Amino acid sequence: MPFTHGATNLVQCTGCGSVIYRKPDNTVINKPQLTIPSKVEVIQPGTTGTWENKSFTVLGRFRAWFEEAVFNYWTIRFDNDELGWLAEGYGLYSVVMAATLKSEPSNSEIRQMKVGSTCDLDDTHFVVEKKQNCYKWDIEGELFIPQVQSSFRVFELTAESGKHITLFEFDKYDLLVYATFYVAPESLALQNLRREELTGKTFTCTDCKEPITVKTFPYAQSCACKSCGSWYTMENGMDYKKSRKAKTSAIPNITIGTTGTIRGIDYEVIGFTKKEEINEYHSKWMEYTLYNPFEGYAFLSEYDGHWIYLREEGDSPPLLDEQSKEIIQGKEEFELFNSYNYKVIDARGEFPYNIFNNEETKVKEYINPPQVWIRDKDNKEGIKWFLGHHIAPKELKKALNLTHVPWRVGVGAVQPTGYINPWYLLRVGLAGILLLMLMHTLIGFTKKERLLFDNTVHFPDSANQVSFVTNKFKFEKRSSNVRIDVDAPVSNSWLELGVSMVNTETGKEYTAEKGVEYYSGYSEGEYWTEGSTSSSIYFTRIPAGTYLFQIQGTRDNLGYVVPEFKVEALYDVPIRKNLWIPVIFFAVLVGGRFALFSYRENSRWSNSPFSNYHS
Amino acid sequence: MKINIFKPESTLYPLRWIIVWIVFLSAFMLYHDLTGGRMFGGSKQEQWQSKGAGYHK
Repeated sequence: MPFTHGATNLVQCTGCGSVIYRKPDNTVINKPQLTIPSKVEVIQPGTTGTWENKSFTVLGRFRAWFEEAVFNYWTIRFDNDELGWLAEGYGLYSVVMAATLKSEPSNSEIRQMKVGSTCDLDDTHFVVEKKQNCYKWDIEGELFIPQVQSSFRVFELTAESGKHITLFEFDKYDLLVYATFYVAPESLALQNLRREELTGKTFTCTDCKEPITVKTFPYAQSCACKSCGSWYTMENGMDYKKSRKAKTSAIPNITIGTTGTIRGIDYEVIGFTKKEEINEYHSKWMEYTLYNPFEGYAFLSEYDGHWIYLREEGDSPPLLDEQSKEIIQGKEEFELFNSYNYKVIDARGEFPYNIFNNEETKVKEYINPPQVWIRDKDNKEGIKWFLGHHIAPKELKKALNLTHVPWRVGVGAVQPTGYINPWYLLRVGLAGILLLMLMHTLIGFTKKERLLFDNTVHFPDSANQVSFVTNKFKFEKRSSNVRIDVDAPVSNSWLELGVSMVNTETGKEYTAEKGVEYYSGYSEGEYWTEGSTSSSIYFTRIPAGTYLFQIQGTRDNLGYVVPEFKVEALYDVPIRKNLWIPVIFFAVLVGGRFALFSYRENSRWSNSPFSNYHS
Repeated sequence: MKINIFKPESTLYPLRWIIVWIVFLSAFMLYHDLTGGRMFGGSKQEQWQSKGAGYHK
């Protein structure tokens, strides 16, 4: 059986299935080794792909069985003959390459590596996210594995910078270091994929005697009978053992077996659970497990009619301080919204990992609507990060062809409300007002403000009415305005101005009247005034042409009799009201929006013990 | 498409309504400023059109 690469050390005979081991000294022996009998993964020997502009071909894999998970390490051969692993399982994909540390961790440092603990390696601060024991492994094709012991330990560490490393411990305290680069599966441009139907594993429910088929065996390490709800968990990588008798009452909104496309990925609903927080609130929510052979598992979580679509992520936010109330991912800040332990109270279908022993799992939810990072910390399973996105009921109904989804109550944890940081909103609001002012000012520079006439008109001694006609004026602009200002020394009296503006070419006439009145006096010991001694008339949207004005003034003959009044006309003037009305509208709209969003944010955070809104 | 402010992928998505308002109000203001108009009222200006000699209603 030929090895196709000088560094691979295990190969399975395609004819008889026996396994050949090439020792470090290049001698070749037959090795009793478990091989993978049923191969359903989409990747297979011969699959090709690209990573960091380097093409690679998959040669084979070893499949590591951990306490509550099964993970594939595909040996990949790059164009330059370099070997690496494509680690894959549960929808997580990462390229794993051999690396070195300047200084190896001491035995005592290795002993202290616990899930959630921190350690310094090569002057970098890391958090231990996973520490798992592989109790068996099986193989397919041609592969490289550093050593061939039947069991080993794997540590997965994440640095504050986002860098990930994986440490393999085959011999006690002897760590092999690998750099881990999480990738989106689509980015690998994988070709020549396996197209096998999921056969799964079928057994009979010991309670109701109905057959149970676990489609995603062995990745689903727990399941519940669809008929009676009895719980089963995998033991020793062999069989599912019953862990609880039937007790099911919840009615799921989405039936197991439902298929649909969510955010561009084809899914089948394969499981349903009802969970409850272990605290004084006893909040309950539904969770649906989705599966796609290439993209792995995903989840739909429903609480009070609010839905979140979740997927496990490898490139997660580093959380070195467990007490931190915020995390930063990219440039986004996520705030701690909830922290709890939970228990499963009802289940049907199948589930990745073992979901029935998670009562010690500490869950923390960090939100930045419409997104949420959920961190599950379990001493056995390690730290898992899930990135969730709000999904509108309408979108979900369409995606899964559902006829009914529960009514929404209140504001969901990551339901978008359009909330904007108040200081940011203030800056945006001021920028908007400045924009309006700038435009208005720039247009104001184009205004002519041409004085047409400026007359002081005297009333004849006995007459209370006076009128005159002006010269002709030419208005050049296609459409503009005229402002007529009147000023009269009225005092507890009035003056009324009537203006007719006539287009001498068309005969079209514009008329307007305006009163000027001013009253003052004492009432109950207080001085009061009302009105003004000046006023303005606007003729707006006046087309170009030649115009004359006919002015008529009428005075009050009872109170103080005004002897004269002043009248002035300007053509093409800026109107300040055209600026402040939009400014006021804009300020009110922005302020109203802020008030509405604050109210809705308050409502959202009313479900959180970490709210800053509580009085 | 990131340019479309009504798509959640756009960085301006949270500001979409504020942008719509400012565009509408700017257009409203520009229309009045450029045509010599005055927002919401004025002097109750009336218009009359002479129909020439001999016209009877």
